[in-house]
Amino acid sequence: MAYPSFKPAPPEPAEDAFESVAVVERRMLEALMAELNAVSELVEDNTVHVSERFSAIARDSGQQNLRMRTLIENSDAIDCGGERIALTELAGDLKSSLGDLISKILFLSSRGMQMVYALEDVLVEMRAVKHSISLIDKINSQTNLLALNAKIEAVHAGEAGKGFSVVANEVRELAGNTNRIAHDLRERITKVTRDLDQSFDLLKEISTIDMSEENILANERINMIVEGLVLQHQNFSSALAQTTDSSDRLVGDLNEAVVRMQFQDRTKQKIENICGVIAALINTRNIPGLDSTTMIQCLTQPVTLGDMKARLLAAANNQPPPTMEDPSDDDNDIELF
Amino acid sequence: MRIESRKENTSFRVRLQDRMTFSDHGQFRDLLTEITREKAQSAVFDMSELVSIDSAGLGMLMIALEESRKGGWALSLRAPQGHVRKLLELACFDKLIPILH
Repeated sequence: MAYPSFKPAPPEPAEDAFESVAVVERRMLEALMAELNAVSELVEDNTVHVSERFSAIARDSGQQNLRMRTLIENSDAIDCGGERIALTELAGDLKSSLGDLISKILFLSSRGMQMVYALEDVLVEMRAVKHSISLIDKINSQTNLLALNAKIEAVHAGEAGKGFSVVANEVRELAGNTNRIAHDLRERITKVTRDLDQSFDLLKEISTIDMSEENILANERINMIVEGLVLQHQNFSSALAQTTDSSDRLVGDLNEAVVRMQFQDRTKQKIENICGVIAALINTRNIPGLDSTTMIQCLTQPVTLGDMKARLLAAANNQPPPTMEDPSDDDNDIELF
Repeated sequence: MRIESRKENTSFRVRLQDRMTFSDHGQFRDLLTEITREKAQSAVFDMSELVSIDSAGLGMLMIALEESRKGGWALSLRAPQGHVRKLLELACFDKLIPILH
């Protein structure tokens, strides 16, 4: 908005002291107008600059808030093989997994112990077989001895005992064969027993998989770690939420500040009005015989702001100033930029 | 492990003491055989004096459970403590065998 143009009068020679004072007064008023204009421009430039900076800060803070909200939303769960698992469910999941693992170990152990019992039964049977083989050995030995005695008796019997001697030889041969079979059986049984003993040791290793205190401590430690993670997440989310709230307030304050700065335009209008009054004041000094009513009209004519005009009129007429209104509430034609 | 057992009417009271490990499988099997032979209707294994148990020991308890089902007698555990109690909880034994406190 432009205030009434002021055309400076040409320099006048100082005819007397009164004129000289009037000239100085006019020049000083012109200088004050220039100063007021400079102040207006300075305020406008800086206000625009600060307003732009505040707008940029508000915009950045808004984006920062969005990022923090995304962070909060993403931080309450972890990605586990494409599946989102909430941290609060993680402890239960881990405990359940560990429980499953222990159940499987337990299943193996119980089956291992059943195998141990079955092997023990087999070993008992093997010992019985070994005992039977020993009995066969004993019978064989006696059979062999009997055959030898029969052979001797057959020799004593002479020609009559020849047939008997053949039978005795056959019996000895049979006893020898039985002895070889018994020996073979003993070797095989011994080998089987040795293998079973080795299997027994292996089963012992399988059945005694350590489930001692270390495992319990590991389980408790996993629980503590997960609980710690959940607690940390809660603290983290709480702090982030507070930061987000603060940032929201900051954005609101900044936007409010930007809106308030737009009232700088009103300051500029006031300064322009003041400059207009000063210009009118200078011009009216050159009008001879001017009465006070006309002078007041001339001086307030450039004032476009209603409230300012009212105050100036009251002052010129030596009346009390009108009640001040909130500048932001009045309906003057302030155009916000 | 030390095992003390006594029969009260149709029920067996068994005290398990010290540590239950693989090396106890022989006497534990004898215990199960005795319970079955005596045609008991129930057996309570008092574990309050058992200070530790390994997986073989847990496996033996599972075998006891299977034997009880086959033999038609009821098995329950009583007052496991400390390490033993935690391990039984961890292995969810309470879902398989009644645990009396």
